[in-house]
Formats: sequence, C-alpha cells, structure tokens
Amino acid sequence: MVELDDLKAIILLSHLTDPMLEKLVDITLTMEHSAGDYIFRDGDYARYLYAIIEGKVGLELEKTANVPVMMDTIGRGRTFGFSALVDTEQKKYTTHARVLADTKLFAWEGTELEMLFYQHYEMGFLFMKRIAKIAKTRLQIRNVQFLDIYG
Amino acid sequence: MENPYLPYPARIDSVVTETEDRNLKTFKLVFLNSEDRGKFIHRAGQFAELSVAGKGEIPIGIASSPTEQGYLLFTVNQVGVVTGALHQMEAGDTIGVRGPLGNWYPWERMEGKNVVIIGGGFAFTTLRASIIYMLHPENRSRFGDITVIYGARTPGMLLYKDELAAWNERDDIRMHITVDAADDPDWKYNVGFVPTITQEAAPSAKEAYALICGPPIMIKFTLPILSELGFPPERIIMSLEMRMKCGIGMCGRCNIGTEYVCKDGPVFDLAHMSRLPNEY
Repeated sequence: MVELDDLKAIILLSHLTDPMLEKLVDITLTMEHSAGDYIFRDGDYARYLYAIIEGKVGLELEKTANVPVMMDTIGRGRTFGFSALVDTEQKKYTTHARVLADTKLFAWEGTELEMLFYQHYEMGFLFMKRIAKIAKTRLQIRNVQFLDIYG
Repeated sequence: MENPYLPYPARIDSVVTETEDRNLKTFKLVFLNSEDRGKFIHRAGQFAELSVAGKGEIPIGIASSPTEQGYLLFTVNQVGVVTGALHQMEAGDTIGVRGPLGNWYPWERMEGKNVVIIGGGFAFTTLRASIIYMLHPENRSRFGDITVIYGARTPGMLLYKDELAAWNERDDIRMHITVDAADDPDWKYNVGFVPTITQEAAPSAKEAYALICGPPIMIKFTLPILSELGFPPERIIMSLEMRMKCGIGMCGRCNIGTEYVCKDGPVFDLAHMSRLPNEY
C-alpha cells in the first residue's frame, strides 16, 4: 500500500495537496530492481515515469557503440523517465537507466497520468508546472556544466 | 617587530600531481630552520603566501591540518608566473612561506555541532585540512555528524583521491563524491552537479554548520538549497580567496566594503557577507 507520506518525499510531488496525492495513489506502482539491472534503454518505448524511494540509478548515453558515459545519477526523492509524459508520436526514452544500487521505485504509466490530468486539470497543471521547473533546473545545470566551472 | 613580508625558507619534500590534466600539484614543504616550524602555528581555513625567488608570491590555502605535524601541504593550480615556476620545481628545491595568514573556520562555534562540507574543483584544500582535523582521534568526539559533498569535472580531476576513497570506507563521515560525467564503468559514486547532490543528500540543518568553498557559480546554486534545508545565514560559512595579494591588508586589492578578504577573512559567514557590497 502506497502511503501519502511516501509520495510527499518525492520532490516532484511535494507541492500537491493531500486530495491530489490520494488520486495519484490509485495509479502508483512500486517496483524493485537490483544493482546492474537496466530499467530502460535508449530508444525503448517510454511507458513509465519513475521516482526513487531508495537506491540509485545512473542515466547513461552511449558516446559510441557500447561505450556508455554516465550523465547523471538519480537518488532518493528524484524523478526520471520524463519521456513518458511528453506527448510525441513515439514516446521513447533518450538514455539508458542502469541501477547502481538496489533500488525501490514508484512508477506511473504515462497514459494513466494523462487520463488523470484530463479529469483533474488543476492537478495536471501543478504537476506539469513542477516538471517544467525541474526540467529548467536540469537545463540550467547542464549549461553550467558546459562552462567547465571547476577548471 | 618582525618584518611581516619576510618569508620562512622551506624545502620541497615531495610533489604529487593530483589531476589528470597535470595542472594541480600538491607540494609537501618542510621548514629549513626548526625554529620557524614553531612559529608557524595555523588553524584549518588559513592561508599562506608562497614565494619563488625572482618570480613573486601568491596566497594559497593551507591544505594540511594542524594535526599533521612537521610539514605543510599546499595544492597549487598552475595559472600564472609564480604557479608556473612552482610547477617546474622538484623535491629538494627551496621556496618561501609567509604566514599563517587570515582567519579560520569557526572551530569554537562548530564544536559539538554537525558539519556539512561542500566543495568543488580545486577549492577543496582548506576543506581537506578541516576534514583531517575533525577526523583526528583527539578531535572526532568534539564534532557531530560530518557530511562531505565534493564535486569535480571528471573522476580524474578530483583532488586527494586516495583519501576520498579511504574516507568513503569510514562510518564516522558521510561522503558524497560527484563528477559532471563519468565514462569509467567502475565509477561507484555520483554523477551530477554539487547543488543537486546536496539537495539529494539533504543533510539536516539542525545543530549544523555548512562550510562551502568552490567556484562562484557552484556557490550561487548551492546557497538556495542550503536555505531550503533550513541553514540560517549565520551557519553558512564561506572562504573567499579571490583577489588577495599581500595577505596582510596593506595593498588593498582584496577590499570589499569595510573588509579586507586577506586580513578580516578569508572566512566569512553568509550573514556577514550579505552586509557587504556584492563585489565577491
């Protein structure tokens, strides 16, 4: 059983009200993966949005075939797999997601989230507004990293 | 009165190349005269002026802890004339050391408190001194939880790699090491920006001080995270080392408002800094 407090620990969801989170509980799945598992690979159909309850996941890109570069590690409270919510013709993940330490996740099917948001616009607005903020922050950080600030 | 510009002569005992770009080297120095060693009593957070004859002198944070007796460590980034000359020097060569200079991290205020150390790139030298100081068996019980968040561009650009690995194995310090990207399949730490890792690690602000040292843009992104976590400005401690020259408040180059970074700092808390002109 998913508890509201567990959902509140997810940064993406921290601005939703309790009634909104209760609606989310019904479509929240929990998953567990062992270190070394791939949750998804670059090009896979983007079915789920994920949030980490415990553990760590690395997002990798292949510089050349079979030469992965880790671009980000996602830990407790953070979210990945936004492609599941981006309404393109073919939803595809754009990185590998490799489990670095045994990991427990929440997962939401993108199509179910969309259905929920069509029924509850305010919740959808707040959710997607938060996604936009997280995406903006990640873009800012990626820009900063281009500067090679530690040099 | 002794001449404050007069350096102590010191011999380079060893040189360690720290980073894969070979631009950062750690120099282990031993005073030539034993009586000078007794005069140089520093605290973690202070700096010294290193001088190379005929080239000049530069202020560098002291990377060794006061608990490391008999030598001093300085990690130097090769960026100009003096640092370039230093990087050409080898074990056995002689340089000048003037100091210790400036203030230090507020060790008296931090006693009994949790300490969060946040560093980026080569701005980890006085933080290394602080970690070594707190982990010393005589000091460890004087501090609560110690959390370290340290980031660099790549795994090969991290300083003090062996020590980081050793600290990571200890259970009396929490290490969060991170890089911007890693192509090493055996990389077992984090990948991501220091502020993101700080948010993820979410160290408690209760009874805690944060010591932060790094490039300004890293600090800019990290301060709001610390604020969100509940750290008040009085307990966010930063070390400013830019623009310093003479080290004793005479040349005026590091002046910010009413303060001289070299003499009144380089360690300031955020509450103090927020009362100064935004020139740092």
